[in-house]
Amino acid sequence: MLGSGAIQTLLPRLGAVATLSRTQVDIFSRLYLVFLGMGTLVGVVVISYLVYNAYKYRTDAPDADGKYDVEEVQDDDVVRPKLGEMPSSSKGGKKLFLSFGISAVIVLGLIIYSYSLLLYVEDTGDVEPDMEVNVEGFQFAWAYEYDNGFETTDELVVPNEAVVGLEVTSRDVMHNYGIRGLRAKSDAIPGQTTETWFQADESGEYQAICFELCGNGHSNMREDVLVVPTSVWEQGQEEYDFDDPEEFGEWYQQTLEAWQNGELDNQLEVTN
Amino acid sequence: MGDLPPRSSVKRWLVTTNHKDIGILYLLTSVFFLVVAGVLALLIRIQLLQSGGTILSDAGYNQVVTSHGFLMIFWFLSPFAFGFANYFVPLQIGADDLAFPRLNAMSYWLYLFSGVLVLGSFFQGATFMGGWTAYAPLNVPSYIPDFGQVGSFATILALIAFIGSVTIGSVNFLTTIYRMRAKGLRMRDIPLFSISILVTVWMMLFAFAAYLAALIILSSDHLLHTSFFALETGSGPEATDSGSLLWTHIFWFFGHPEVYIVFFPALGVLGEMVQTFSGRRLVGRKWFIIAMALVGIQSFIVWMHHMFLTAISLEIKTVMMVTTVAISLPFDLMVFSLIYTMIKGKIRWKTPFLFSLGALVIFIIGGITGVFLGAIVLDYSFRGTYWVVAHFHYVMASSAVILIGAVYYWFPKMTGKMYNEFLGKVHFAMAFIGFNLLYFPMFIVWETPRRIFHYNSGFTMWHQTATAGAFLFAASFLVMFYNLAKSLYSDRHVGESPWSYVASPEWAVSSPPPLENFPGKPSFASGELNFLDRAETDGGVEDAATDGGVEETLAPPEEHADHASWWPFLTASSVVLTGFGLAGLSVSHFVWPFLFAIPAFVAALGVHGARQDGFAQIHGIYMMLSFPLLALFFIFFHIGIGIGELASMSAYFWAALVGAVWGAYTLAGIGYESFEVPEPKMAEQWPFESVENTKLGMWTFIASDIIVFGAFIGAYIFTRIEYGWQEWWKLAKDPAAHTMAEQALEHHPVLPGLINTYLLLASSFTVVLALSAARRTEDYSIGPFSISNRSATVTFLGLTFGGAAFFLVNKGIEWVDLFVHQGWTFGVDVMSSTFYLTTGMHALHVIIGMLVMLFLIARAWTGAYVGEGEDASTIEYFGLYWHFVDIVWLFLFPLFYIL
Amino acid sequence: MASTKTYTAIFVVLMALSTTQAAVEWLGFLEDYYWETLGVIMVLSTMKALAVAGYYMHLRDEPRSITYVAMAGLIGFLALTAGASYSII
Ligand SMILES: [Cu+2]
Ligand SMILES: [Cu+2]
Repeated sequence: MLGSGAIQTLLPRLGAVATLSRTQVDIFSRLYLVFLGMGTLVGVVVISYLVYNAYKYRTDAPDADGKYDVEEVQDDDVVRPKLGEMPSSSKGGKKLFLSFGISAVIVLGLIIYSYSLLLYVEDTGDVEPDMEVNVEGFQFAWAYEYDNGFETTDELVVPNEAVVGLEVTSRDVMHNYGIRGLRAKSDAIPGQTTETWFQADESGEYQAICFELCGNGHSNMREDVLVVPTSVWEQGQEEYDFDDPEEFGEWYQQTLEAWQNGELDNQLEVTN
Repeated sequence: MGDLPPRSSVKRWLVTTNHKDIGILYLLTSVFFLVVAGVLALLIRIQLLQSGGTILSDAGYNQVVTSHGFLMIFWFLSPFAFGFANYFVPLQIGADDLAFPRLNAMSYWLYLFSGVLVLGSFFQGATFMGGWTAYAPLNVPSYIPDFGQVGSFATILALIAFIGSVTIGSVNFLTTIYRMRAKGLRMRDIPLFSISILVTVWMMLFAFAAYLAALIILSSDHLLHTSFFALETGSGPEATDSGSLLWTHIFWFFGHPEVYIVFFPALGVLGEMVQTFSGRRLVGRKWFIIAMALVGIQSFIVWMHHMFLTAISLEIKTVMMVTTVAISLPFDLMVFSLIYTMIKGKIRWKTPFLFSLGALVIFIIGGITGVFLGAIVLDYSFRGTYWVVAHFHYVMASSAVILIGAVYYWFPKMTGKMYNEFLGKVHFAMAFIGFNLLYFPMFIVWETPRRIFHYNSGFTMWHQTATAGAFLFAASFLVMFYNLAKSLYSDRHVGESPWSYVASPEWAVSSPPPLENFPGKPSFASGELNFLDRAETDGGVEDAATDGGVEETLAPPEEHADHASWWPFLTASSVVLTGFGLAGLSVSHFVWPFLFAIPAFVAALGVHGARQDGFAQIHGIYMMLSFPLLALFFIFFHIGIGIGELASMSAYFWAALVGAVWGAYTLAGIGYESFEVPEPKMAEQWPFESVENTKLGMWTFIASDIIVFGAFIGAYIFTRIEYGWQEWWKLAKDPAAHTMAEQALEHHPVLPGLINTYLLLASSFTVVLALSAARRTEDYSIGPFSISNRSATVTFLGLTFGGAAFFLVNKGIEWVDLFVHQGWTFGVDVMSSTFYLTTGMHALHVIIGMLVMLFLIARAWTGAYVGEGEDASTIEYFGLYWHFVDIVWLFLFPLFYIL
Repeated sequence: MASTKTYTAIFVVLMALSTTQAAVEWLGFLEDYYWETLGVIMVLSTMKALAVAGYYMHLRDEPRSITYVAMAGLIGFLALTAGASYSII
C-alpha cells in the first residue's frame, strides 16, 4: 500500500521526480469517457426500444360500454390476461436471456477494465510518492503536516509534477478530503487513516473541499491548494533548507504572500 | 368491541382494524408527509438558486436536508407503498383481512405518531441535522450544538418508534401471505404486487432490525453517555477508534436493502400495470420473480459500496464491487421482461400506463448511472457529489412515479369513481418534464458537492433550471389532488373494473370492495378464481387465535370476526408523549418515568382483568401490590433524586411520566381485550401448514430479534477486533489497566455470569413445565398429595417469574458493584459501553418477559389456558420468546464473562 | 412434545455444560491455550443453544421451514459480523 514504511524524509528535488505514466486525472477522465459513451449508447438503445414498442403496439379504440377502456378481444396467437386466471407467462421468456447475456458482457467488461485501473490507483503505479502530507480534518478546516514536520492550517502548497501522497484522518467527526481538479479524494475518519495521492500536471489554484456533512460549517469548509511551478519550488530549495521546518515555513509564508499579492499570477496555469 | 361505525363517522377511523381502512389511512398520511418533505425540498432548491445560499442559515440548511431525506424515505415512500399493500394484498391473495388486524392498526398508529414526533422535533430546538445517513460521531451529543440536543434525540426516538411499526407490519404481512391464501393459490401464483410485498417485508424484517440496533446504541450514547460512536481518547481501550466505521457498517447493512425496500413494491405494481395496459401476460414471469428474490438476498452483501473511500481493505472492496455490479443484472432482466411484454400488446396510453412508461425511462437512467458508481475508481470521484444525488433520486423517485401511477390505477377500485383522464395526463406531462428538469441538470453539474450550498459560479444556470423543474414537479401534484378530489364526488361510477385485461382477484369484486372483501369464500382449487358459498365452508366451531389478546373458544364462525378496537390508537398515542419527554431527560432522570409505569402496569392488569374476567383474588392481589411497589419506587426516587425535586421537574419529565404510565395502562388494556380473529380455514398455507398464525408471527419476530441482538454482538466483535481481540481479554483481566476508573478495577469475575446462566436455564425449564402442566389431562398426584394442573401451571409460571427476578437482582448487585464501587461507569471506555449496553439490552428483554408473565399468571389463575376447551398456546408462544432470551444469554455469558 | 423426563435430562445437561465453561476459565486454560479454549467454549455455547432451540422451542417437531426462518436471521447476523470484521483485518 501507498506510503507504508516509505515516508520520505526529504521534500522532493524535482530534478529527480518520479514520472508516472498516468495521473488520477488521466485515469478518471478516460474511464469516465468510456462509461459515458457506453452508458449513453445503452441508454439510448434501451429507451428507444421501449418507447418504440410502446408506441407501435398502442391501440386507440374508444371506451367500451361500462368501462373506461377498450373492449377485450382474444386473438389467435396471443394469450391475453383473463380475470381470475392463475398467473402465467407469455411466450418469449428465452429472449430475456439474450438481452441478459448482452448486458452481462457489457457490464462485466466495463468492470474488469475499471478494476485494472483501480489496482493502479491503489498502488500509485508502483512508484513511491515524492512527498507525503498528513491531512487532518477538523470542524471546519484542514491541518497539514509535511514530511519535514512543518505544520499549517492554511493552504496546502506543493510543487507541480510531484507525486504527493496524502494520509488523511480527522480529529473530530467524519469529513471527506477532496481536491477538485486533481481527483484526489479520501474519507477523513476519526481514529482511522486513509490514503490517496495526486500529481498535478498544471500549476495553479485548486480547491480542497469537504465532501461529507460534518456540521454547521460544512458548506464553508473549503480551502485553496496552491500548486507552485517547479521553478518556484526549486528556487525555494536553493535559498532555504527544506528539511528544516522553520526555514521551510519561512519560504511557505513568503510564497503565500506573494501569491495573495498576485505576484505569482502570470506563472500559474490554473486559476479560480 | 365488535362492529364498525360507518365511514362517515370520525370514530370509524380511530377504531378500525380493517385492512382497507388502514390502507386508506396509510395513503392519506403518507401523502401528508410527501407534502411536508416536498416543501422542504423546495426550500433546498430555493437556497441553491445562488451559490452561497439565499434563505437558510447553515444549521437551517442542514436540518432541511436531513429531514427531507428522513421524511421522504421513511415517512412517505414506504408507507405510501404499504397503503396499497394493506388495501390490496389481502384482496389479491383471497384473504378476508391481515392475520393480525389489531396489530395492523397498531402499525399504522405507531407510524403516524412517530411522524408527529419527528415533526415535533423541529419545535424542540432543532431537528437532527447530521444527514439521513447520520454518520458517527456527528450523531452523538458532543458534536451536536446545544440548541439541537433535544430535537436530535427526539428524531432518533421517532425512528425507533417507526421501526416498531415496520417490524410489526413485516411480521403481519409475512404471516398473512404464507398462511391465508385462497385454496389452490400456490406461493408462485400470487399476483406480482403481493410477491413484491413479500420480498419487501422479508428485507424489512432483517434490515430494519439492524438499523434498530444501531439506533438503540446511538440512543444509549445520547442518554447514558456510553461511547460506541463517540471518539474518546481516554485511557482504557481506546477502541472507540472504530466507532465511526462501525456506524457506517451497520447503517449501510440496513441502508442498501432499504433502497430496494422502497423500490420493490413499486416494481410489483409496475409489472401489473404493464401487463394490464399492454393486454399481454408478463413475459418470463417466473424469471422476474426469481430475479426479485435474488436481489432481495444479494442486497445484504453489497453494503460496503457506500464505503469505498473509508479505511476498509482492498480485498473486501473487490468483493463488494463484484456483488454490486452483479446485482444490476437481475434488474436488467426485469426491465427487459417489461419491454418484451409490450410487444404484440394492445397498449392503451392511459394515465397509469404513462406513469409506468415514464418511470421505466427514469429507472433506466438511474440504473445506468448507478453502474458508474459501482466502478470504484469513478466512485472515488463521485463520492459526496451531485452525481450521487442525481442517481439515487432517479432510482428512488422512479419508485414514487410508479406509485403515483398506481394511485390512478387503483383509485377507481378504492373509491368506485373514475378520475379525469385528461387531468391525469396533464399531471403526467408536468411531472415527467418537471422531474427531468429537476434532476438531469444535476448530472451535468455533478461536481457540485453534496449537502453544500456553494458551487462553481458556472453552475448557476443549471441549478436554477433544477429549481424551476422542482416547482413544476411540485405543481403537478396539485393537479392530482384537484383531479382526485373532484372525481371522488363525480358521477363517473365504475363497476368491478374500469380496465380491460385485468387478472388479479381485486378486480373481481365490487368497487369499493365490501367490508368482508368477497361475495363468497375465494378459491383457486379449480384452476381459476371461484367464490364458494360461505355456509358450506365454515365448519361451525373452529379453534380461534388472537393476536395476543384473550381467546374465546366458543366464538361464532368468522362472519363475526371483530373489526373495531380503540387500543391500537390509544397505545400508540403514548409514544408521542413518552418520546417527546424522553428526548429532554438527563441520564439521572430518564429511568423514573418507566419505573413508575411498572406499578401502573400491575394495577392496570388487576383492573382490566377484573373487568374482563370478573373479579378474582389475583386481581385484588395485583391492585394491592401496586401500592407497595409504587411506595418502593418513591423511596428509591427519594434516595436517588429527592422527593422535593419532583416539584421542580421539567415538563419533559412529566411528559415522559404520563406517556409511560399511559402506555402501561393501554398495554394491559390491549392484552385483556377480547378480540376475535379466526384462524384461516380452507387456505393454502405452504410451507407453514401445521403452524398457527401466532406461532409463525412469533418466529418471524424472533428472527428479526436475532438480527437486533446480532448487530449488538457484531458491534462488540467488530470493536474488539479493531482493538485487538486478545489484548482486550488481557486488559479485562488486568485491574491496573483501567486507569480511567477512579480506582483500579477488580477483574470482573465469572461467577455472577455463571449464576445468571443457571437462573435463566432454570426459568426456561420451568416455562416448559408450565406448558406441560397446562396441557396435561390428569392432575399431578404424588402419594396423598395432589395438585391440580391449574395450580401447577400457575406455580411453574410463578417460579419462572421468580427466576427472572433473581436474575435481575443478581445483575443489579453486579452492576452496582462495578458502576458505583469500582467507578466503571457506562462511558469510561468502550469495554464498559459494550458490556453494559449489550447485557442491558438483554435485561430489558427479561423485564418485558416478566411483565408478560404477570399477565399470563393472572389469566391462568382465572381459568384460561388449562383444562378442557382451553388453549395453552399463549404459554407456548411466550415460551418461545423466553427460550430465545435464554439462548442469547448463552452466548453473552462466554463473550462478556469468560473470553 | 417430548416427555418431562427428556426436558429434565436436557436441563441437567445444560447446567453441566455451563459449569464446564466456567470451570475451563477457573482452571486457567485461557492463559496458555487462548484460541483453542475459545473454540471449545463457543462450541459448548452452540451446543446449549441447539438443545434449547431443538427441544424447549421444539424446533425438532416443527416443519423445517420454521428452522429456516430462524436460520435466515442467523445468516444475516453472520454476514454483518463477518463482513464488517473482515473489512478491517
Ligand atoms: Cu464537511
Ligand atoms: Cu447501496
